[in-house]
Amino acid sequence: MTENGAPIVSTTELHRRFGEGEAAVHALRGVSLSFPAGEFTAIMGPSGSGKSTLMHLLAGLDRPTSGSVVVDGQELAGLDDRRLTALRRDKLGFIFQAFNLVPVLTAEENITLPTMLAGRKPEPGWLDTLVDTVGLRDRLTHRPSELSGGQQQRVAVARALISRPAVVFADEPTGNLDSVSSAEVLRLLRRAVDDFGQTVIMVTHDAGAAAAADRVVVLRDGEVVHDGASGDTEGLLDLMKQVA
Amino acid sequence: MLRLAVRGLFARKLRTLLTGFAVVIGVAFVTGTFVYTDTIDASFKDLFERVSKGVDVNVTGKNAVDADFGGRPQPLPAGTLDKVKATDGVAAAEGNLSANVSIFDKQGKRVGGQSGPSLLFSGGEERFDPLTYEEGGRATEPGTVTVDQKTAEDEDFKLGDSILIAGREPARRYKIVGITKLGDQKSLGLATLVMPLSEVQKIAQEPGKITEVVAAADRGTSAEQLKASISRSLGGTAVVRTGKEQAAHDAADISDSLGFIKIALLVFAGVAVLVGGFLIFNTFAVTVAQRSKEFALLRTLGASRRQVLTSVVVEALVIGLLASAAGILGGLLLAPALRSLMASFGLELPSTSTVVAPRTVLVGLAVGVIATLISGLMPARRATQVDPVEAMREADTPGVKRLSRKRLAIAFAVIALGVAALFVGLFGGASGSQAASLLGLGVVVMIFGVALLAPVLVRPLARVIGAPLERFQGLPGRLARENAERQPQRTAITASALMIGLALVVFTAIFASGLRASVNKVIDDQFGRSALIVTHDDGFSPVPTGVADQLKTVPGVTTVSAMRFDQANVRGGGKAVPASGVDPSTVTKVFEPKWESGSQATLANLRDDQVLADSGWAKSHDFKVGQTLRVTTPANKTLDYRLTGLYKNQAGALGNILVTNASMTRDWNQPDDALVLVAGTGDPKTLAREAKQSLSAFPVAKAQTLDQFKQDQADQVNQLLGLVFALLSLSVIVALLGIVNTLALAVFERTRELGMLRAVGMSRRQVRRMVRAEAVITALIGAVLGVVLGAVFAVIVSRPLADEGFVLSIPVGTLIGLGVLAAIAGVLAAIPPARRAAKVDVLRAVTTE
Repeated sequence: MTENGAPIVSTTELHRRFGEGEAAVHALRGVSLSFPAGEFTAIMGPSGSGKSTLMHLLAGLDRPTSGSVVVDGQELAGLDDRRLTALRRDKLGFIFQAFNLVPVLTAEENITLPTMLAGRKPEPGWLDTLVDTVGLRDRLTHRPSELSGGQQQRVAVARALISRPAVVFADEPTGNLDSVSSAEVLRLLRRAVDDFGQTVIMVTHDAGAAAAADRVVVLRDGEVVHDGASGDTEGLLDLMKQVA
Repeated sequence: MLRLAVRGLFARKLRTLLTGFAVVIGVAFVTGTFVYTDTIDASFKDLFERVSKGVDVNVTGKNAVDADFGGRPQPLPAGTLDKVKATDGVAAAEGNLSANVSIFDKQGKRVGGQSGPSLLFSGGEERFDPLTYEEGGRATEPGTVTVDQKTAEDEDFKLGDSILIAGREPARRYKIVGITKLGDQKSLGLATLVMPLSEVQKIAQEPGKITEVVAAADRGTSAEQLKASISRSLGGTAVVRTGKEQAAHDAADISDSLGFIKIALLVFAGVAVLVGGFLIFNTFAVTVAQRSKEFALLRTLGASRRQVLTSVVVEALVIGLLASAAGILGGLLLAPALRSLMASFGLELPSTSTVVAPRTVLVGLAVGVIATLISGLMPARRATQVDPVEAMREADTPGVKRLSRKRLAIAFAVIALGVAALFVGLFGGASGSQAASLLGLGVVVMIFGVALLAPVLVRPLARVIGAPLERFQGLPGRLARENAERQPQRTAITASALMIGLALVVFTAIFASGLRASVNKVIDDQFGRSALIVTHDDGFSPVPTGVADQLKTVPGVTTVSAMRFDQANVRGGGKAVPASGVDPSTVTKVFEPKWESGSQATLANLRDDQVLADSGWAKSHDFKVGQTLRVTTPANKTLDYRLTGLYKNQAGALGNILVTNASMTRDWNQPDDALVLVAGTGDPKTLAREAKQSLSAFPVAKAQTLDQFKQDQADQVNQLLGLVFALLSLSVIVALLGIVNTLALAVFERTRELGMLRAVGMSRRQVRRMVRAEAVITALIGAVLGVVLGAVFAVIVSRPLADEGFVLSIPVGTLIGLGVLAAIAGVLAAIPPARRAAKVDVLRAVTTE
């Protein structure tokens, strides 16, 4: 599974419609994609292109109107809430735009949250490695309100990686950050892929962020309009102009 | 702005509903109390008016001592009836006598429990008979009796059945010849019997005596005129009233005597309103905090501070008005519930059609609206302090607020003030009702003080209470504890609301436990030499006359000594002073009071013109040994007694003064023994059995060993305790609604956080567990505060009673039970918010748009 090339997440003919009848909005119109393990993919697209909807479906946060999503060999359509919850806890990692840390827990507790929810202890060596990687050793006892935005997002990255998930989903992870903090978070995601062999799927509309990925998928009006290797920021900006 | 306020209410339906409900319960309690007590008053008025049917003038004995329920009716001087009959304008007149009796059901069990004696009236001429006969007719022959319809139905008495009746005479059987009703009332609240005058005189052992003369006027003579001429012919030897006046007088007597019910119920209603106020305050405070963005926006758009204030106040006003209206309707439903509650505790009172006085509606509205406004005002003021710029900021859950030192100082000052009021009330020498008001004030002020202090206590308490939860529930328990600490202010107020009810429950429980302990101690210390205590089965009526003599014949009995109770006026010592009567020749063998001045010899040598007194009472009225007390007895005699000794009256075992039984018989017209103390050889239980056998002619006499008597007393205390708990339960329910509300608000506030937790793998079960644990922590904080506060109240209030033999005793089992109940209640209160939290839509919660 850790070998590059085998798909860890794949979708077939994914459709998602919101509402009924005339007011229906087709957010996704038949998306088939596969994401190999150990790859860093950026999903781009203008507002309303369906990129967030796609990610919610991939992460089991929402259910498709039709089509299937398979994560780590498991078809999501057949899972009930309890199994989906367990899947999210054990196989998926999340990074949100608004950090979304638990305000009453310390940085360390926020990092280990998924393992605590599962009633397990984090692997001590792995926790140490993560803490050093995100550079928060001296902040572990602080609460989110005592951390900067960049530090909070680094906590969120460590939290997403703590259970060595099959795939990490990042939803506009740099959306609320200044450029220095953004670069730091992207560097961390890159390291997760390169050093730890993680799979990362990131939704973003920031070409600079997408440039850090291996592969870029562009969506427009619910369909895939581009799927290829990432380039530099300039090239991606041009690409976006073309598809828009 | 008005429209905005009203729209806001509809937008936050659940919150509005829960807040409103807190008001509804308080208001319902207040109006229910008024409706219930007004209905009782009106019923008695109606009944007495019916009883005065055909009566133009009413002559009763002079009542020198103004005791409860109008005092003991005194016999009229001989010849009164003849004088009335001889008066010009009198068409007819008859003498009446009534007596308190006991009746027995078909299984031989006394009817009426502890709700009071059965009433026996004499029946005479038909023109004065207020009763209607459902079946049969009037009892005119010796040996016959009529019974009210309710008693007949309840006890399955039929026409022609015989019924056992006991008065001062040994019990005898009478034949039922009529089933009666008074107007549309099946009952006066107590069983009501009628038989011929001569028979009543026999049962009551009052041969030839009457306590009342009723007279009807000739055609052409008005009631007022007749009253004047009868007054003239009696020359001030009796009280003369018109029939209407008498009815009003009797109704007022009853109403006064039952006034304590209204006051007690209103106190409990007040507690419910206070608890509701806390809940309203909290809801408004949270709402304002959550809406600060909205207020800021309004301010940015040019709304003045005043307009923002108005919009919140209007919201409070609308809730207050609607909820009060609902509460008044609720009160109509609650009134019958109160009635059956009181009835189940032995206080059965008549009720005709429900009375809703305009005052009831006005007071209900005022209480509801004012409570809501006051509770909403402080949060409303906070709304005005929102800066317009806050509209632009990212909405964040408000962080943990630090409590200022100033607030701490204020909290302690308020608590000190409350304690001061308690102490002034207890030791300041204020009169009864003043002292009670001061105590009440002290308690309320202390509650506010502790509520102010509570936010500081939330954190340490949550740590301790949350520790086991964290241990057994892992992360959800941990988060629950942290969440409870997050808004200490909010948790504190929610817990304080529960604290109020629980503090009073604990206070009552400790007090009752102390009462039981002190009664036991007094029985052991003072009545220790008795083997048996013989009382009336109902616990407060006197025992029949022959009981004491009968007991002397029981084998093994060595001493029989009767004690009496009455009330008298003492010059310089107050009206209706409780008094005891003893038999000096025997009492010292079975009873030893705690002496302040004097000894058993003083008691043994007590003469008929001597008196002993309670040291506390004597001290506060400046009576000293050797002095003379001028006493007016219920028989309207004024006598001088020399004070020869002082005792410490403990647990109300004696009255404030004590005279001889001989004096009571001769000068007080008090021939009845309240209780008979018996000493004897052998096992008290055997003695009790033999006494019972020997007393078969007196089925109302209950011979108990000291242990049985103690148990009996304890049962009575427990029953009262049960009533108090039932009345406090409404306040506790309001407080639980507070927990529901606070948690629902918190869940709403933390939607995003809950969504994130769900996204990273918290299961629905874990979410529910987390909310539940927070509720339990909040409830237990309230329980801890309540237990401590209640215990402090009990310790303070019982201080002055220590002298009267009050023993403080903490019912540990009850307190632990309360804690467990509070935790269970917390779990129940958490059900709706926990369900809501578990349903949070992960997607909506984590998307930023």
